[in-house]
Amino acid sequence: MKDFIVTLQAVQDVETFLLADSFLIGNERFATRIPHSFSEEEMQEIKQKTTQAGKRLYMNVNRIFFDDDLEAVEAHLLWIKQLGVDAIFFSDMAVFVLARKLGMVDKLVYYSETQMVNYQDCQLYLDLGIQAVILSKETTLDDMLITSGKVSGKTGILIHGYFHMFYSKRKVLRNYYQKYELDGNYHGSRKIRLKEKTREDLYPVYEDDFGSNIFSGHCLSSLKDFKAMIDSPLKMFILDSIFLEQELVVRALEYYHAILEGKDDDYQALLQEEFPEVPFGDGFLHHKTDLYK
Amino acid sequence: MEQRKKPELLAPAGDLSKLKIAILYGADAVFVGGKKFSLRAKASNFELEDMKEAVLFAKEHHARIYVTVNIYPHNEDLDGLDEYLLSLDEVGIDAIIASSMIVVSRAHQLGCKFEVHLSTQQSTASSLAGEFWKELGVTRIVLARETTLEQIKVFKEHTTQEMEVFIHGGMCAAFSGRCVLSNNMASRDANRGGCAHSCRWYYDLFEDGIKKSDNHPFMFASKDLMALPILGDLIDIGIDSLKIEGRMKSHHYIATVVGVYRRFIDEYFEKGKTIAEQHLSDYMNEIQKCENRSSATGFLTGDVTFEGGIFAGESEQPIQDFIAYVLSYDKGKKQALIETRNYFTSFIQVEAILPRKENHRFMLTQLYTEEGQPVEFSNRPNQKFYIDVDFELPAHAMIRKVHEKNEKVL
Repeated sequence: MKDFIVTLQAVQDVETFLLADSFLIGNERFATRIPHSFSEEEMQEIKQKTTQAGKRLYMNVNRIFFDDDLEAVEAHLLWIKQLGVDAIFFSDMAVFVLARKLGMVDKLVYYSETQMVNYQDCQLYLDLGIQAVILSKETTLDDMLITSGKVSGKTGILIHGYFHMFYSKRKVLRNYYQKYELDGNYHGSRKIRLKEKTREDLYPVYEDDFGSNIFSGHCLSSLKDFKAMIDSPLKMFILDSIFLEQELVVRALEYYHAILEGKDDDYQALLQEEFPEVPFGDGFLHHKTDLYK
Repeated sequence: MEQRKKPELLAPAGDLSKLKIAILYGADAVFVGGKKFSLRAKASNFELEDMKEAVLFAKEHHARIYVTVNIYPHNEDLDGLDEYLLSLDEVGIDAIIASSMIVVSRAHQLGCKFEVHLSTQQSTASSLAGEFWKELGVTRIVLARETTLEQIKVFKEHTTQEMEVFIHGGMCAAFSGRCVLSNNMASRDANRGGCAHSCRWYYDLFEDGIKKSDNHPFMFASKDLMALPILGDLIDIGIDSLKIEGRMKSHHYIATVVGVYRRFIDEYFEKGKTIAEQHLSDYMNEIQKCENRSSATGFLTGDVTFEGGIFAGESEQPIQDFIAYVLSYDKGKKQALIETRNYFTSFIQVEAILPRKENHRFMLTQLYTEEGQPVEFSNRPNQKFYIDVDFELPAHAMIRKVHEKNEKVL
């Protein structure tokens, strides 16, 4: 069974994304590059709503952690266990060790966003007893299909949204603003964009208390390739709503579902027509990156 | 003085000649890359035959050799991995530095005798994460460069693995392994050695549609790391290996940087921390003689503010003070045969940097061609000349110009 996972921007989004199967949420103390940082109270409310709606709830705990974070991470995992989620997305092996201590390895989904680029690594992570592995987006569709076909275990991919390119502990916006004594509202803002001098793309950049993240200049859309994806063993499909209007995510979900149901139309063209200002692209699906040119 | 284990000084080498320089100038270990499976694709890199010679040279000088097998291989890169690991084992290297779990795993499954060290590309920042890799047979963690001194100390208190910490060289602006800017912007895979250093490019910044960068382009690259000011603290924590970055760096850079850190570590252990730190400014001046990039202590000393970053207008100035490499010395004639690097004239003040010895300042007098003809200057690299030198100037010493300022000869 295919699993459409949507990242939430607000508690009420549970009722907005009706065609999602699962929701991925987090708090910025433990998760990075999330559309919204939810408090524990909000997460409890989301849990109630998702249960009522018959959906699954996934928790994002994907930061890189230091020794002085570990006590809080363990407490958070224990709280998550008590809350009762269906999966925990992680990228730091310290989370694996803590989850193992708490008897929660089967909840874990490895999602570092880079590095998961071959089937043998994928299998080794699955062999740890975790629930699933999300393949990195910097491999081609062919590579992803090969990997999902060769491994024994659940795999997934990001199919829609601005994808992540750069994760740093540095506060790159704060440093720039302070260097040149600029006024501005940059911390926590999702309205900051970078444009390289010789390129056209506008890269969203986001900074919180724990560092900075830079995203792609285009919104990944896999509508043209989704048929191949659903014909493969890939199970989890993530639509990341960060920087996107809810209406776009709703529409994209409808189209992905239509393809899943065997319907045929130029859904990408339809989506672009409805959201002409959004620069869609296919990421690395058909774009192989090499050592150097 | 409190008995403490001296840490290993680990240096980079892009080719065999640089490896020899690193060891001669004081490195206890050297890390190199092969032609496959290694980041820094543009570094010279080693064939297996080079590695065999490297291992022999290292053993003669009581040093160790580590080979980076630290890419994140894609499916098509997996071919030949086993054969490569077995060939490294046969060569007799001391360790591999790996990022990917499959490389770590195969090295152990194949029964390779070398150690497996975990690359900084895994961004291992906590002792618990280190424990996970220990279970897979990793004996040493190369720490994420985002760890502070305090965090490193806590890590050390909670681990039984060896710890390796970067002390000098280029710094990635992102958590290592977590950046694909280069993949996206230049089609060059950063996790397979093709990083285009997009963080060093110029950008415009827009805040809610309003351009904020009219006067100053946005940049987010990092200054290089230079841990000399807090090296004593790292030694006190008990770090096992202090790592210098720079497989693409020159012979002069390696000789200078390795030489400085070697002298600091030795002085620290022989004479105490206070003495070593009294000479700190001299050591830092010495490093500046080969450095053309601004540096800082990075996350070792806490949060990295704008002072730890590179911004527009802070350009690198090429240093051309390194003028010659010593090929040989004739004790009878008191003459050295040198090979030139940058422009210089005869009759100038210079200093020789010597393997494991203090620098030696002298007057470079007349230059003679190999045929004995006097010349006034050298304006092309790799020319060979004889110079008269009344002290022993050994092979592999290097000569650089001296600038007139109150600098102490180290």
